[in-house]
Amino acid sequence: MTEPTTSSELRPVEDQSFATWVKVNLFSPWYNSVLTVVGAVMVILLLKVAIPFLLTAQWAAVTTNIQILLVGQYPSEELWRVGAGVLPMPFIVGAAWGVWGSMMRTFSVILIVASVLTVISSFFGDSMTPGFVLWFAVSPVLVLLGYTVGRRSFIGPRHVLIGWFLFLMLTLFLLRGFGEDSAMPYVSTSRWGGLLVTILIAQVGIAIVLPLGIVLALARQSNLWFFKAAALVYIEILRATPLLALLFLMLIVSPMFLPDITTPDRLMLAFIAIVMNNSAYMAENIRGGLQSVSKGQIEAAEALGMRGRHVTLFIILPQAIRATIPAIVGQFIILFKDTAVIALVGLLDLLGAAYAIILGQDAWRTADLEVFLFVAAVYWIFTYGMSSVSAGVEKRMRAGAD
Amino acid sequence: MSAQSVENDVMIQTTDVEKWFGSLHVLQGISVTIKKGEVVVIFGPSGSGKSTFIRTLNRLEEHHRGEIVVDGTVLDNDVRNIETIRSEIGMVFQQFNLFPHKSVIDNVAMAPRLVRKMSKTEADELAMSMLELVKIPEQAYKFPGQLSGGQQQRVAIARALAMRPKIMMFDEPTSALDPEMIAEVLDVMIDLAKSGMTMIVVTHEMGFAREVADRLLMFDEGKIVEEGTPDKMFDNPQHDRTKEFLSRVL
Repeated sequence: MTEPTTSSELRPVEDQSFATWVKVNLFSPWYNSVLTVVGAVMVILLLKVAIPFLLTAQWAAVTTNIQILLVGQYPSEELWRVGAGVLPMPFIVGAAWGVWGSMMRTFSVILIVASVLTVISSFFGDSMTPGFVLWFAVSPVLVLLGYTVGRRSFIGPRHVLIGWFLFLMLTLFLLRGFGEDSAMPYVSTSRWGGLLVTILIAQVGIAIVLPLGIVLALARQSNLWFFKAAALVYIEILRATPLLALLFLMLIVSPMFLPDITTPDRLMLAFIAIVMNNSAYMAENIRGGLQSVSKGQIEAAEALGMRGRHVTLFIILPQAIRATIPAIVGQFIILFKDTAVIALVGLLDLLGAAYAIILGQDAWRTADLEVFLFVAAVYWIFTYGMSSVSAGVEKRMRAGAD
Repeated sequence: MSAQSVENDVMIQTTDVEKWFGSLHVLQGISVTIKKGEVVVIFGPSGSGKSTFIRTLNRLEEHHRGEIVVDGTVLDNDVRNIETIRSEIGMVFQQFNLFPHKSVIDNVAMAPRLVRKMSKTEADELAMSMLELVKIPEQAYKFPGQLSGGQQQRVAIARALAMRPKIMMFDEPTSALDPEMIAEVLDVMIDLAKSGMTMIVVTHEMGFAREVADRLLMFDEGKIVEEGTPDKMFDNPQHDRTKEFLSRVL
């Protein structure tokens, strides 16, 4: 293969002056001039409303209630468990940055910037506890520490994934606690809430939905009719059911069939509904990838004497997953945003906590816009981070392809 | 030669092999005996069944009638027999079919590890020696997508050879290559033929056939129309179809 010539002599010199740029991009031909003027007027009108609002907004509605927004009604005296449980997260994000490079950079930078901003904002009010501020002060250090570790050659993607699984387990144990008399008394999931619940559902959901989707997709392609039929029924029923309907079914109808002695964990039921719904879509994404693997690949593997399960595991699946990464990450983003639906069945996730603040306290009833803007911004930050990962993966795959 | 040693020398024997694609009768009774160390070149117009025939030999296609015996193993529906036969026949495809998600060395070392249960070091060593055999050890850590067509096809040959097959099959190995890359692949195949490998090659590279083939089979409409040594086939073809076909490709 020959490298394309990149000699600068061959490239025409472009006129880079600002006036020319404006003329070419904004005012030619004539209809672009019209669009530019209309666009400018709309931006001005928007700013005219937005600037006075931002200056006079009751941000105290957010800062005063930051604990509810972040952790819901988790008991204040047990908050250290949340802090300790979530503490490995910045480290793991940093390690992922070190291992996967630029595609995790945006996420890491967002985490560092958000932490620093939180620490700075703590100087302008006394609503945040010292432990809370300390957590955000430590987290950028942990991101960088994780990055340094992740850069080491003996640390690979496998270690990061295992670390992430262990972290999720540890966090769930810490948050849940044990007996009444232990050092970590049991905290019912009905008291978990806020961003904590949103992030936990999203992460545990992602950790379950991907493998479950793979298994379902493989089952649907299976030659064994039972697996094929079971997967088909599961996928077709769940894909054809709105998540909200499934959620109501799980939380309101299912307790009627359960014996009275059991009090179903509402958060768990909501979580199961989200996982069921998303895994059906995930299975279809992966199935598309499975079909994209050419017949020649399977023949080459079979001709080498490889067995069916080896062919599936080492030849078909890796290529299918690579081909579907954009769709997979897209499904992760959908799952993350889907968590907001649980607010509608009265659970206190990030959105539910916002409702609780606005509707529950007269003082903040007029600050609804502020609270919802904050919530929207938090969702945006996470989904933007996730789509930047997706873009990074695609870029890397293009570099490896052809 | 005694009857016994002739028997032992037979690598592949097919008897009246027939196959249909729907109502299309693609193989209409193919009987071939290929001896150890023999190089057999199969040619004929497209759709004549030549690719389908060699694909039945390692069960990439199922035959519907007749018998196929590879190195003493009868090819039937028994999975163990199919696996035995597949691990004894190396196959090279027109489209290379390298695994794009694996580096070159992993492409070659994969089957020895999974099928022959070799350790990673052992399989990597074997893979490197195979890559040396096809003269591209320096490409070991690249990915297939970074190689030229000729290099990819040579990796595919190395990958097949790493299973230490007794027979190598080539299904139009140079048809997808740019003209300047055909020679590098044919050179490797000529070396292989001269080393005593039993080979079945579907190709229209008649120069290659003349140089190394022991026997040529001319396929047409699912039958072997004519067979013989290169000299006999090129210089004195008997059948009209063979004459007509050779006049177009030579």
